[in-house]
Amino acid sequence: MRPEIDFAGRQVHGSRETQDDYYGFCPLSTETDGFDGLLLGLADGMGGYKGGSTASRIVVESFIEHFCFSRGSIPERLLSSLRASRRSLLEEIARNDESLGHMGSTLVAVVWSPAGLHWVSVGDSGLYLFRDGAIQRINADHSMTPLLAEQVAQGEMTAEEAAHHPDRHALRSAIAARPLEIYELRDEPFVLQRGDIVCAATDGLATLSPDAVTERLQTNARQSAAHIASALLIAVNEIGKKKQDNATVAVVRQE
Amino acid sequence: MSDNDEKTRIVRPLEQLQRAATPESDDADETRKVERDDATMTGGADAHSIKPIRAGGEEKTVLFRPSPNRAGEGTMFNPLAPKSESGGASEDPVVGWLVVVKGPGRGNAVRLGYGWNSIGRDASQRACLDFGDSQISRLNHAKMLYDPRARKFTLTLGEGTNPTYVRGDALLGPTEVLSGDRIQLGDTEVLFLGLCGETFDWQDNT
Repeated sequence: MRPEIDFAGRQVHGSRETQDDYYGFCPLSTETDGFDGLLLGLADGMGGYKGGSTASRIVVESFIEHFCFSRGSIPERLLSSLRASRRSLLEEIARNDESLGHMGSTLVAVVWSPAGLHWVSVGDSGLYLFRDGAIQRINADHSMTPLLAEQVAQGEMTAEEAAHHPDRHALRSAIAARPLEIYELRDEPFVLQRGDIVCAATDGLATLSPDAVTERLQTNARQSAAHIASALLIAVNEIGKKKQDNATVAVVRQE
Repeated sequence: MSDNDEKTRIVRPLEQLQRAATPESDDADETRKVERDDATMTGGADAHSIKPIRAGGEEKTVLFRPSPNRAGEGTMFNPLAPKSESGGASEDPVVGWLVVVKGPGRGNAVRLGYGWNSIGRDASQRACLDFGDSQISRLNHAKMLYDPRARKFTLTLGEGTNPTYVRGDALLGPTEVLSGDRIQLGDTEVLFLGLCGETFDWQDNT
C-alpha cells in the first residue's frame, strides 16, 4: 500500500521586483529510488537583480536532477546532490560575467521516506514540524540569529539589542563561489508521526510571529497542503509589511 | 530542537562560530541577500563577541564568510571538482574514468560520477580536463551521463565550439560509449574506462 503524500508550494513577491525564491518537488518511487517518498528543495537566492533568482533556480533544479541519478543511502545522496548543485552554480558563475560572481543561495532539501525525514540544509531557510498543535523548527539556522540568542542567554546582550542587531539576518553559510563551510546533514531519519505536517519556508515567512504561524496551522491542520501554504502566505500579505521580502512556503503531509 | 540534536551532524568550523559581527552603517537602502566583503568582516578585532549595535537599519541579509587566510580561497577554487585521480574521501563514488592518452596531460585521469559529468577546462567542471589544451572549451565541451538505472554511459553534445569525436566519428547527438572507447576533445584524446555497468554498480552492494 503506497502512502499518499500531499504536497504543495506557494510564493509571494512581497515588495520586491524579483522572485529570488525557488522550490521544487520530486516524487520518489520504489522502482527508481528504492522507496516511495518525496524530495523537496527550497532555496532563497542572493546576488543582485538577476543573480538571486538564477542562483536559487539552478541550485534547486540541479539538486533534484542529481538526486534522481544518485545512488547510495539517503544522506549520501543528499550530500552528493548538494555538491552537484554547487558545481552547477559555479559553472553558471563561470559562464557569465562578473555581475553574477556574487550570486548564491540558501538551500533546504528534504527527503520524506517511510523511515522518516532526512535533510540537508545551508543558510537560513527553515524546516518546520507541526505536531500536536505546536510548531517547531527542526533544521539549523545558519544566520547570526542563534548566535545572538546565545549571547542573550549568557547575559552579554539584552533581548532588545539582539532583536535589533543589524547583522541578525546575516548568513554564516550559503551555496556560493566560496567554499561551502557549514551545512547540516540529518543522518538518522527524523521519525514522523501520523498527522505531522512538514513545512519549509524562506525567511520572508518570518514576518509572521511564531504564534501567528501556529494559529494558522491549527486552524487549517485538516486542510490540504495547498490550502495550508496559501493560508500562511495570505497571513503574510495581511500584515502588509512595507518592505516584505519574497516569501515561499512548501507544505508536505501524509493523507 | 534539542532532543534530536545529537543525531544531526552539523559541520561547522569553530573559528567561524566565533567570528564577530561587524557593524555596517550605510545600510539604509533596501538590499537583498548579499555577500559581505572580507574587508568589512575582518575589521572586528574582538572576535569572541558580537557587539550589540543599535541601528534602525533595514533588515538585510549578508553572508559572513570564513577567514580570508584559509588555503584555497579567494579564487573560483572548487574543492568539490575532482581534478586528478587522487580521490578524496568526501568525493562521490567513482563510476568510470577518462584517461588522457594523447595531448597535453597525457598520463592523467579524471573521475566520472553518477549522473551528469560536465567535461571542460574550468574548475567548476565535474570532469575537469585542465591540462593545457585550450582547444577544449572551458564549460561543457561535452557531457557524459552515467545512468544507474540503465547502467549505461552516454556522451552528449555540450556547448563546445570544437567538435568531439567518438570512435573516430563526430559526435552529433547522444551516443552510448563503452569502456575502452576513445574520445577526442580538442587536441586531447581520452580513453574512457567504465567501472560501473552490467557487471558492477555501487548500488549492488548496499
